[in-house]
Amino acid sequence: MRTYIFFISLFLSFASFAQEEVVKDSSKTHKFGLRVGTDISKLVKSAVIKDYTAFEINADYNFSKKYSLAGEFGNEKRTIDEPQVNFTTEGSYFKIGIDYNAYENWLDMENAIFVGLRYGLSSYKHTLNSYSILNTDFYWDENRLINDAINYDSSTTHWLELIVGIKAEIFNNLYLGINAQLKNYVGNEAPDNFANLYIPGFGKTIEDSKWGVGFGYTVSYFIPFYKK
Amino acid sequence: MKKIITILVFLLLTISCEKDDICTTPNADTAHLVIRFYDYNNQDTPKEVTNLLIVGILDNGDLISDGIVSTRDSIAIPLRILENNTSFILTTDTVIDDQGTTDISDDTITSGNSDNIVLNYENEELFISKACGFKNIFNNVNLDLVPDADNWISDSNVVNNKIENENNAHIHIFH
Repeated sequence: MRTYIFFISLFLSFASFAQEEVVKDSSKTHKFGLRVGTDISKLVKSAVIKDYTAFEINADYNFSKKYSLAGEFGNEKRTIDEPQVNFTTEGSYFKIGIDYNAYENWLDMENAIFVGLRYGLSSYKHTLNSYSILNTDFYWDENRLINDAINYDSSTTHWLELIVGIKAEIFNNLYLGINAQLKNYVGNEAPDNFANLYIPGFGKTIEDSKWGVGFGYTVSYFIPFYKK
Repeated sequence: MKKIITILVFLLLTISCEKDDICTTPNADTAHLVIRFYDYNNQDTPKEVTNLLIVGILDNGDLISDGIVSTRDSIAIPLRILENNTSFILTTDTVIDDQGTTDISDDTITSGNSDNIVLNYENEELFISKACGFKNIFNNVNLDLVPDADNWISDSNVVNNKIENENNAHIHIFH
């Protein structure tokens, strides 16, 4: 479902490039300012999915024609139910970095097809709600599901992230955006006798791998500071 | 611009290719207690127990009915993971009267020498992975032999008091 919405929006943005690239204006002016927004996919998922609550604020400031200072700040709480473990992860994260805008705007628009780099830091805690002890011998007929909750000490993860995406102006100064993120953690501090199976801001982790992926659908508002 | 869109599509495809959550970690299963039998008079020599029958004892004293008689010099038996002790009856030279049926529930032991062993230990739950969950490790394992008029087990020696895999014997029993 998520993938379909993405492709539809991708085609919509193709359609708008096709129109714009016909006109090449040499006397361009640029607006510089701060764009502030939120990730609407996190809001929608929080409303729809019972065991998920998340909020993210994102911002970027275009200090030059091509480059922006960009960052995200957010909070996530998620319960994951697997056959062997059921746990809740809750915490906050921030990401900071630079975006490069590969799109040639005309007039004073600030649309973006961007590629960016981020440094991310997440601080969070896991609660193990229930778990199973793996024992394939049923001789003693014991119940292997343990319902005693375990609260683990807090975890910290640092990562580097490649982000690519599109931001398109749909109304005056209001932007709709989509982006995809590829992440690789450089530091991951797990609690004793558990692993960081989910990391707020980073997403699900894969066994024996430092990679993670993520998606964002953003709505943001551009506050112009000056024109040049 | 095209390159960026290519990267976007590639990233989209990678998310749907998550590694399957199947438990494949070696030694993720809770290990059995491995006992090896040795000759009491020549303690470096393994010695088979003839027609050995192993039966677990429940807390109320009832016996678990399943058991297979076999002649062997080592056994791997399951310990209880929610209790700190497990009891077994080891019967040597077992002769079973199967009442002429294949149904084992009406089988009776007509002869044999039964010894009662009690294993005491501490349980430790060790996290393996998301797919495997936890395994149980038995620490500080020791074996008590309940004395009777005619014990066929002469002595025992705990050679490894931590049970986390089944690669080697944890306890040697001499007879």
